Amino acid sequence: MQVLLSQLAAAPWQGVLLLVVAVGFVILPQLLSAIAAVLMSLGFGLVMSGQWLKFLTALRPTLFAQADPVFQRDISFYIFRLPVAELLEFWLAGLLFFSLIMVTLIYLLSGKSLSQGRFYRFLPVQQRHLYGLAGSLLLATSFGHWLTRYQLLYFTQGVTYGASYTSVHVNLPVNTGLSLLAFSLALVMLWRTIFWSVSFGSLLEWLTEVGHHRHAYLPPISKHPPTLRLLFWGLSVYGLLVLLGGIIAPVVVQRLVVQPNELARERPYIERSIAFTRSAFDLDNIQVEFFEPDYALTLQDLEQNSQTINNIRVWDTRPLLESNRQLQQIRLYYEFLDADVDRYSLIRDDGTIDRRQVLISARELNYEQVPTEAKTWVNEHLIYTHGYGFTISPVNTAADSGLPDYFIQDIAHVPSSEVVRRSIPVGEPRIYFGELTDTYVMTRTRVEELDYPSGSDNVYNTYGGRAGITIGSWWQRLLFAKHLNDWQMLFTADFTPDTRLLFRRNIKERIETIAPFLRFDADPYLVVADVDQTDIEKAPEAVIKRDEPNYLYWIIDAYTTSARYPYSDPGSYDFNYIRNSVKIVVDAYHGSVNFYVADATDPIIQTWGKLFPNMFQSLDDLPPALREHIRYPQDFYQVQSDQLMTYHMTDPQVFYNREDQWRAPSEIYAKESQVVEPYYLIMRLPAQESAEFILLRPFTPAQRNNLVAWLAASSDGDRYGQMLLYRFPKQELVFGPEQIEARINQDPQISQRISLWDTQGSRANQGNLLVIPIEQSLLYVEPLYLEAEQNRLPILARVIVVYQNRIAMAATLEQSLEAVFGQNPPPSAPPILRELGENPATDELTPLIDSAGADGGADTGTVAAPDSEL
Amino acid sequence: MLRDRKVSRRQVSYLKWATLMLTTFLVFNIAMFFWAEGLWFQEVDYLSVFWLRLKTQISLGLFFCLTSLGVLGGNLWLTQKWAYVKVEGDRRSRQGIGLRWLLLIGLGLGLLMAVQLLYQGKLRPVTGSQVTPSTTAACPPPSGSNQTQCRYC
Repeated sequence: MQVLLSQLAAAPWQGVLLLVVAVGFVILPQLLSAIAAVLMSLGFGLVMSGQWLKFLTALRPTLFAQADPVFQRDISFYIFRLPVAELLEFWLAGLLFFSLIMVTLIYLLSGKSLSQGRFYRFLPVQQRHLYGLAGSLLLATSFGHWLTRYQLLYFTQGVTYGASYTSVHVNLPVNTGLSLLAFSLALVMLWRTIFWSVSFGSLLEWLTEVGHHRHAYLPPISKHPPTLRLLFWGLSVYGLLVLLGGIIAPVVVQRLVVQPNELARERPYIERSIAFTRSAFDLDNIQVEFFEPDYALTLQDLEQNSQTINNIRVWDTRPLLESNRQLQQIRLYYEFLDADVDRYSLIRDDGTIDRRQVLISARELNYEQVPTEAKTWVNEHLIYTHGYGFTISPVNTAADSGLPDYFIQDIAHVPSSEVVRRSIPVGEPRIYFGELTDTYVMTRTRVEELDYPSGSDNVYNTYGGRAGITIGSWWQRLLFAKHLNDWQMLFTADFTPDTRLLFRRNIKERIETIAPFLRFDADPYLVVADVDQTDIEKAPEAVIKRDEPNYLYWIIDAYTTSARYPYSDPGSYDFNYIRNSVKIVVDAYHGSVNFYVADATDPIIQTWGKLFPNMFQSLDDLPPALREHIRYPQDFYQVQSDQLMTYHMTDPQVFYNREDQWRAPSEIYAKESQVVEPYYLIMRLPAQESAEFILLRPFTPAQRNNLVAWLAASSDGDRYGQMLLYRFPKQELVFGPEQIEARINQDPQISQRISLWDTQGSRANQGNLLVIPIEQSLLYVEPLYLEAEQNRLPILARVIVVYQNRIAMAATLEQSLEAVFGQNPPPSAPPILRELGENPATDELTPLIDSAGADGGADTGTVAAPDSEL
Repeated sequence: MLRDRKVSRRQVSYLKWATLMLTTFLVFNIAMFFWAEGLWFQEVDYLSVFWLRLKTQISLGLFFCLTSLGVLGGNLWLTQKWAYVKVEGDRRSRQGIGLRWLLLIGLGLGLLMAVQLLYQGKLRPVTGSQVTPSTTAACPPPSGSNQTQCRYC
């Protein structure tokens, strides 16, 4: 109803339209009703066929092997069947209500009652008709009340999500009563339709007469006009129950019974909500450990954790993309839309493997960027067909100039070293299917496609991949000219019998069209991997000579969700159950799409697997070269960690008081405050032997700034999907990102330096503040970028490292680390080093040599010369 | 009189032709659309997915459309049968309801029908988030607050 009113408020002309239609119905009831009946039927057909996903899943539900605590029904009933029952109820109620109103109106206006100026009464036969319709409508209403009982599991009136004390003790019996009452009233009305003047009492009398066998023939049944008494009382009781039981009683009970004694009354329901939310968001499997920082890190420890140190991310997507746009775009029609974090194994000269975290970015072709003068049909569909290549940058180093370092760069895809050449295959990195490939193209035409620019010339080629629909013959051309609404296709002379059409090339559109029942991660990522092509192709025709090797694939994470998991709190999302059930691989050159089931335990994906038996493959079928690159998906992790901020509290009392509510800390990024997003790291978890690729997010308490826990999700090999929550002891203060950032910014010399750089023409931007657990300690790292205001080409100017009480700022990460942990600072670039908590009265302009003594090392020269190498 | 009938016959035949052509055009259009889509699904090797979707949608659409049409049409047919043809009643009697109320009730009922007709699509249950794809991000950005959203208002 609210939807309707807001709609009317937004567009008043709709009100006028409504009135006109209403008057129409009064003037021409019969004719307009017939038209309306056709329209309504078409509307119902359309609405219902739009809900085909719900109907399909209802046909093949999969058990969750878990029942809800109120009705003891398996959860699959709620996920798969309840939505369909609601749709049926909506349809039945709508249809019968419309029929009832329509029939009443027609009878009311029949016999020229308007021109007579008076309507006398409904004829008995009309009354029977109306009783029949009203009875059916009441049946539908009864069904609706029955469904409302189940919907109580999603009510939000108590302290938690789901049916609370009041719902179970008041709303539930009231709705059961309403349903039964409506059902009996419906029976009474239908009785009147069928038997009309025979009352139930006289039928009973007649039956007993017949039973006594005293007559030779059937006795006459007594008939008298029906009285309305029973119906009247029934309807009154129904109305009263709706008012009292549905509206007043819940409020009264909530106020007078529950609220004075809330925790005691609601405790079992809070327990349910916690348990079901945790299982719906898969928080049950998070292993909890305690992390007691001892701050005993030494340089030796750092060397032992070289994998972690070598993969500390000082570059992130934003500055890298800005640099890429300036340095790597090469032609204006190329664009780097996004840079994705991934890890690659580099094979060193001695055969050992070095895992490096990198940012990979696809150089896609964006047809929008082509100058308007050159936007011709031939250019759009025959020549500018594909992007070319990618860049890979290590996340932890910068070139000497401060610009990003590249493992692979330029159109020629120059590897930075022999190690990279050996480890990362390049092939012919053509991107026909990507995130910006929104145009449809025709390949193998008489016109050659632009491959890549080379010097002042361009190199041309012809697509040799497997994708595309043949449009050699005239009828195929006609079909697609019509389908794409592009009639120039019919008249071009450039087509050959071998010409193919590639459309729906945007990978998101592609997978959404194939699998509309999944929801997708916002961030597809590009993977370079040498996969034996026959592995990934399902079709046997796939065995094609590979003269143009292609190693580019997109991986997209997909989710199955539902909003119908009982007692599960959706938080700020529109679903309350989610699993990362599918990983999708799209070939950037051949366009093939493959679905791999990542979570076979999810009943929803099992149901889809039953419906589409050949669609999904097991994750074990994913080629190993690609499997190395699967990662714990960021959106899923974000949803889970958002829920965990509240639902790590498993004790009902703590939960009720929200004693231990967490939040995501915020940081200052490029002068603006933002929430610390989950970030990927390569690090060794305290309990593990080797370093792995994990996704990490720190938490702080709701009202304070210190760190309270961090959550890690693993991505590698067998440990994929495992989650670990490390909690800090409550009695000890561990600095949170806000506090560390405050300490960085209030350091006189760092602040001075930033302000100095931040003057006219340039900006010093603080990057992501990373909290990095090493051994039993925490290290905080924040890069500082410097960029001109006009032509943005950020360079990595400084790296700030904070450890315990020490802050160091130096040109590179190594120098900062050495300054913090080392005995001798490197002479070339004297870092700024500060001892905190000591000598607060130090004059900010005096070099901090005094405090060095406090550290014990006389020769340390914890030199904090106001660094003068600028 | 005779001429009148002739003209109307011709009109009817025109109307027939027009309807026939319009239907053919529509059917042709729809068939072309599904054919092209089918070719695309065949190319990406998921034709079975497309078929199942098409079958389900068509049968659901037909079932609910025809059943609704049956129910509404049946009721209309009954009203034709049972509606007053002429009113037997005393003009001077004060029985029943007068013009003012008749108009008000009539308009009220008409308005109810109009609302249902025009807003039918908008009034369906709001449980649509189950397995519906989102075109943008799967997950909206976190709001930071943990207040539960009420979806029943």
